[in-house]
Amino acid sequence: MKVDNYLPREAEITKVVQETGINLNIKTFHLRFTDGEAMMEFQPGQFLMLTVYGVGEAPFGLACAPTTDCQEIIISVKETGKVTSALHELQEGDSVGIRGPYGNSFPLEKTSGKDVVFISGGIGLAPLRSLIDYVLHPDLRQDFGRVQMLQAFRSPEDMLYDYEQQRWENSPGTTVKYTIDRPCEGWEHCVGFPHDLIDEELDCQTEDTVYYTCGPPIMIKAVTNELVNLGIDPEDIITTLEMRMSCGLGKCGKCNIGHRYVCKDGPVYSYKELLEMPDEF
Amino acid sequence: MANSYNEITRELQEIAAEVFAEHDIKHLLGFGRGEFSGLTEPVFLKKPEEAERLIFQDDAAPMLSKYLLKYKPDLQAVVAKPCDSRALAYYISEGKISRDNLVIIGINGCPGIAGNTACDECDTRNPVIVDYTVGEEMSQEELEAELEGVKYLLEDMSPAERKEHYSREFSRCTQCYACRDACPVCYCDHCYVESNQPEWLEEGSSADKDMIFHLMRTMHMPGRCVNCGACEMACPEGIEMRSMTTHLYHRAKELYNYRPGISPEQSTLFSDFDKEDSEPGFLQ
Amino acid sequence: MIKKLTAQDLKELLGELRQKFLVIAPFRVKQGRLTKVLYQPVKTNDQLSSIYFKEQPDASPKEYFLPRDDRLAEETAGADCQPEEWSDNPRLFLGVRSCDIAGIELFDDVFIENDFVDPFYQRRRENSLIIGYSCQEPADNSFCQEVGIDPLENENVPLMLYDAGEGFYLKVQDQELLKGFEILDMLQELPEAESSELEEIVTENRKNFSGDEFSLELELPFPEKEAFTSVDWEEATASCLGCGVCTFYCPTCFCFKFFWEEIEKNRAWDSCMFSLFTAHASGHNPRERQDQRWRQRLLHKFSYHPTNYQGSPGCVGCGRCVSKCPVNLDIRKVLNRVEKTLAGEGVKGNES
Repeated sequence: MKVDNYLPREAEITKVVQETGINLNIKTFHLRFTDGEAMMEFQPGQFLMLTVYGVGEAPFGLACAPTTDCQEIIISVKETGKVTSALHELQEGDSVGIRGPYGNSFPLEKTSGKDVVFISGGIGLAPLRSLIDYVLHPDLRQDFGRVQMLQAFRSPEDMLYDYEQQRWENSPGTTVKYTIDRPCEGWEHCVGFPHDLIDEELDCQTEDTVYYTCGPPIMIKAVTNELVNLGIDPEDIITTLEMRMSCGLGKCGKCNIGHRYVCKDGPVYSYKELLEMPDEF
Repeated sequence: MANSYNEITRELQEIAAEVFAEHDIKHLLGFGRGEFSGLTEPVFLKKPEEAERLIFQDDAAPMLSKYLLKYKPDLQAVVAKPCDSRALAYYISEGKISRDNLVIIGINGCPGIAGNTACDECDTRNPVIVDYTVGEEMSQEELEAELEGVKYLLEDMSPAERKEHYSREFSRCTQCYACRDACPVCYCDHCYVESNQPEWLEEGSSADKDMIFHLMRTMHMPGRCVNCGACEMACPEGIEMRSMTTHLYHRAKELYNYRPGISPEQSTLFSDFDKEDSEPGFLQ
Repeated sequence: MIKKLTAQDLKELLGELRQKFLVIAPFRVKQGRLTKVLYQPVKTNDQLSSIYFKEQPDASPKEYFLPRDDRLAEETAGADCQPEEWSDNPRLFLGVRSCDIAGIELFDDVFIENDFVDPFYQRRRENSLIIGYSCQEPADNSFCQEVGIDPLENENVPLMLYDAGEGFYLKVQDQELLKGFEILDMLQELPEAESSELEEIVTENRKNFSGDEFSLELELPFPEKEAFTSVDWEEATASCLGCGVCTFYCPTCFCFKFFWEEIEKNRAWDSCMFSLFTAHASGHNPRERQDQRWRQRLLHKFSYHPTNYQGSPGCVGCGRCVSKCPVNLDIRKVLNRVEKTLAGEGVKGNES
């Protein structure tokens, strides 16, 4: 029996990166446990509960890959509510609490040996990054096929991880496409919503390819519809849901979709599974 | 004289048929008997054949006005106790709902609701705004005779006694918010208790927080509360809370001769400033 | 083993038990305009004569296991959980009816699982001994038998109390569970009764439970997707005001939220009937309307929970949500609607 007392482990913020700040305020935090014990074990696609002491807790998808050189936890946080606003006030050296990791993970076994397509909207890129960095890691790259990415942002100022993009673009067998909502001077990439661009910009094979998508609920719905229209098997479309996870243990009841607790048997679901679930996300 | 529940029930069923015949309504909102519980519950009647489901009993506590906002702007008919009619008049005066979208069946000479102390001191026994009525009107003389000598709770309490009283009462609060949800004039789209930026009310249910919740609700009530007692009737902990809003109700009446929801044309208490108005402060 | 007790015997027994236990029993309590029956700790032996068995308590004893406000711990490095001191003293719950026993069993399923144990719940539960009580007549709006609960007999507690009008019978059902509590020694002096005496009482009382107008035909779990989409939830639950009374009074509702006071982490009851329950910080809310929240409450009890826990119902049929609802919105009426809709679609139980 595993006793869980709902209490976090203390971690220190080692680095804060201001990702965007004009339309949306997004920062990336690097965290390291202070108790000197080992880094937590996790899988791409899992999430953690982060405590800002004295304020509260919120769930964040892990934005780093569990590779051998992974020494820090990385999360990207959009300033939206009470906890995220307080977190944005914190600086290097400040302490936070971490519980987790929680939830299931991206299906690595299923993805192994296949082509991988990532379609993200805004901060939906953050949880996907845990798998992107995994797939593109030099030690693991040979386990996967071709990698295609379509990253959507509101505007050029809202791009995430610009310091990583070069590395991703230069990875072997990898193409990265970017799109923004509206045309903008000096922008040389795509314009428009990602679901409208999938057919044109990506080579969508129906065999031996796994599609990962994450973003605002409305984008996920549009993208999955488009992929299904292109003949992709719903089982090969993987997404991660953002619900209001709170306990992370399948108890508190805030993330139910039907009988499922998204914090426990999610947040990663194939589109096939989503179709079987009540439409309540 | 107050009318009997049975008489009101009989007349309601007759008039409901008329209302269906004369208006193309989305539904007629009234009271019916619970199939299994036998308790009185709000019903939303869709067809004239359902008219016989209407009843009026001494446990018809819910304020039906509360539901009208949910289905506006459709044309709706509603059975209105006098206090409910005041809530409706207040809605109209605030522009929350259009008079044109309402068919009001008012209950004259309301016999009141069992256990509701507000009914014992009710100053509105006939509806203030109607299209149809049931029951005999109650005369002003009768009303005054019934109110003779009625005191409201806070009148004779010192501040210390009040504090002790409310601390004891609110200690039972579970923050279920039934009082707010049952209150016809607690209709804010976004209640302050549901705001966390800023967080007006911190989470948790310590005595202090329970007190803050009730005090803040009270401070939204002057010029709104129609003194119907729905808050207390809804409270599963039997918390005596109405006396606070009732106090404000009486203060507004004394100071500005203002009673909310007396007429759909009246302006609201706080939008009707006159530099001659007395300003003694509400809380004394 | 069945013991026969006079009212005086029971008082004396409880007096003795108080040496060892914190005895928690139902009492009539005045609360403003209401007179309620509530579980309260017995503080003096004098109070023992006021224990009130005649009606179903207004609230189940759930707050003694999952307090409305529960201090967990300070969120400091290496913090350990320390529930309040009383949880170290054994507690004796007297007069718990089958519905509320089933409520506690449901909590056991949820909070003490193979892959998860809630230490706060566990400590409280392990320090609690329950004496059940056999109902004599149905409580208002109750329908326990429709969810498979026997209001008269309950094998799942070590001791069961039967009201015989003049005095009581106490049935010892599980001596193993009583070990270490010295209760059996205390019972030794009392005269034994024949099981036929008890059977007679149960048979007589059972007659009071035959007239249920409401019946639940559909097997559990309700088919999730069909129930979710095909029922007109808005029409069935139009009168709901959105308060949390039904969930707070429900013996099985366990959903909770965390909140913080400085660095102290606390847990409090939450309610799926509240709009904030599922609202994201971004403003997105998967359950924006009240009928969606009602659907969640009902289907959690009759579909989702049974799916997750081997068909076990998430409702114990105590009827409190009906009796306490400010607008008397009746879950039986809504269940009826669900059944009729699903029957119309040719869906039966979980065969689909």
